[in-house]
Amino acid sequence: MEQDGRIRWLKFSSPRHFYHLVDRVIPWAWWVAGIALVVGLTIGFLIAPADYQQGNSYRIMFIHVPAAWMSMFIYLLIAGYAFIHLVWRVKMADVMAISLAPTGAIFAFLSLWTGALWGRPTWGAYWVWDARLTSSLLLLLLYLGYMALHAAIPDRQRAGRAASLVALVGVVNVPIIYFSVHWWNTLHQGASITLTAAPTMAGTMFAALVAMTVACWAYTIAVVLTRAQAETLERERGALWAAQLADPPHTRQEADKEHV
Amino acid sequence: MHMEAIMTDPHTPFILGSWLVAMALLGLETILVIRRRRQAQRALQRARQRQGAM
Repeated sequence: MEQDGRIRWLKFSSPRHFYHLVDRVIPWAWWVAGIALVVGLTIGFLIAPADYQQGNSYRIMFIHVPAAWMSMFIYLLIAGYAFIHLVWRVKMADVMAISLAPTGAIFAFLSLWTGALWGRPTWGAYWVWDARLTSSLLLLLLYLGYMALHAAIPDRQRAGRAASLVALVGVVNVPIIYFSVHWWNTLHQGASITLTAAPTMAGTMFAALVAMTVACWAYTIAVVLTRAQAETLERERGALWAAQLADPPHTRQEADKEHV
Repeated sequence: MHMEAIMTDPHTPFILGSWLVAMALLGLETILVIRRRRQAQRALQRARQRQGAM
């Protein structure tokens, strides 16, 4: 992996090395996700006090906020991979982009769903055509459009390139979502947590939010890398390294040594 | 500690509706993804067996 003190990053763009590397990462990500979820649920439901204005319905925020963050961040990642795929034709970039999309779509849906269920008791409405909500709905539609286009074109290379273009055009929506509460007069409140100021919430509430965010991140890493492994195997069906995965472990190791 | 207050809260259906749907969707995604990887691995095994038989 390391030669002359430098990590050979390009090695990880090879499907074979990628598959074996993520095989070691995935179990750790599942463990972190599980532990952080238990911690988040415990603090969020058993320790954090009720909000003085919203009562207990604010506990929806512990899933709503991480889901909304993840939906935006995953789209940025997809756009980054789409750029790499379009410019350098790295096929693993397309594998990562298409593996991220369903998880991003689920988080985008969850941010809308949980937001609606929080909005009803708090605002008195499940939905309003507010800039933040509308741009978040657009993000879900972009995810669905990206996946639909990728699936609609039978040739994988052409599908990857066309979907990458959609991902890059759609990325302009992410800053719109983020800054919508500043740019327009919206019903949706501004951010309670920023990088430059202390959080405007109780310490236990913040701890629950952090734990749930870690859980969502680790979950995303685990599930996306597992999907990327499946996608890699489906695409590399004819490759020798993939065929050797089906061999018994002792013969596989010998075959690996021959390749080094 | 707060569970009793949460369960008797008039907003409980909204809280449960959010969390249960979220957990169900993420759980379903996990199952489907692991199943897809297993199917891909089995397809490789079958192909390898066919190669061996030839």
